[in-house]
Amino acid sequence: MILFLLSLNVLAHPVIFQDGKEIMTNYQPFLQEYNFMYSVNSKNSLGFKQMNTKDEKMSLLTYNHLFKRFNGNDSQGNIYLLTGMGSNEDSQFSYNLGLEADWESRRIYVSGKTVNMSHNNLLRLRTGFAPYKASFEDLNMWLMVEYTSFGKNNEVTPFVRLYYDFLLIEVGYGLNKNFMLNTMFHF
Amino acid sequence: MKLVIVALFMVFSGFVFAKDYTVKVNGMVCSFCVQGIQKNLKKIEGLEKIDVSLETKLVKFSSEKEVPKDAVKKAIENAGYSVVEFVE
Repeated sequence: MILFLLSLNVLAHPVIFQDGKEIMTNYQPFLQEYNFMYSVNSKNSLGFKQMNTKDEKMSLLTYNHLFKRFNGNDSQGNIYLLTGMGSNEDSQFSYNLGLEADWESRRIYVSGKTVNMSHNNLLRLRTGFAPYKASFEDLNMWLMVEYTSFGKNNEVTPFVRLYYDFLLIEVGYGLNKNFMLNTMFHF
Repeated sequence: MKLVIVALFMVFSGFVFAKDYTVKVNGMVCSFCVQGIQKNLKKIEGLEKIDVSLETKLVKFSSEKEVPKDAVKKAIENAGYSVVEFVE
């Protein structure tokens, strides 16, 4: 059973600052993901993604596009197009095509994503809050919850997001007893 | 006389006073935002002491050369953020 596909893009923005590079890993018992992304500019990013599930291993070239950014005084909102194209271990064509939207302030985070893939559809919703406003030099902490619907599977995962400097870590444990560990760093 | 000597020293030593700049920016919510702005501003030659504050939403830096506002605006927009105004 393929489960929880494509969680990497909710770890961070699929497009970051010009010339920004991002490495992300995602671990869950049923899914491991490794992603490298390079932002050509603040609107477009190119990358490579390796996704391993119980049933399938996919290697995809990715292209993401920032449709719209809303920059507020103390908030930010984004709408993205997500695409990926490649093949699985049987050399069959694989793809991702989706939309993602998020809004965040320094205290509240909300995001939603829907992705159509070669053999399944994914819906993922996230929300959370920061118990304190962290400055640039501080350890940032968020308490969050994620709802994922993938095929016939549904999961709710409370998790903690921590980030400091260029490194982000998320640790959670789902109601269906699936451990989650995500990491990301920018450079 | 002392003033003249100091003035002559500054002229012949190439000493130049750095000018401080302050820019108000919208859209910054986390440390990754700060990094993006810092990385893009560092591409502008001569910028020093770049300080980005999530609290005040102000980006401050100094330069011994005159820095074109357009270059600063472009750098911040390339990072994905909006320049509200240059604070004099």
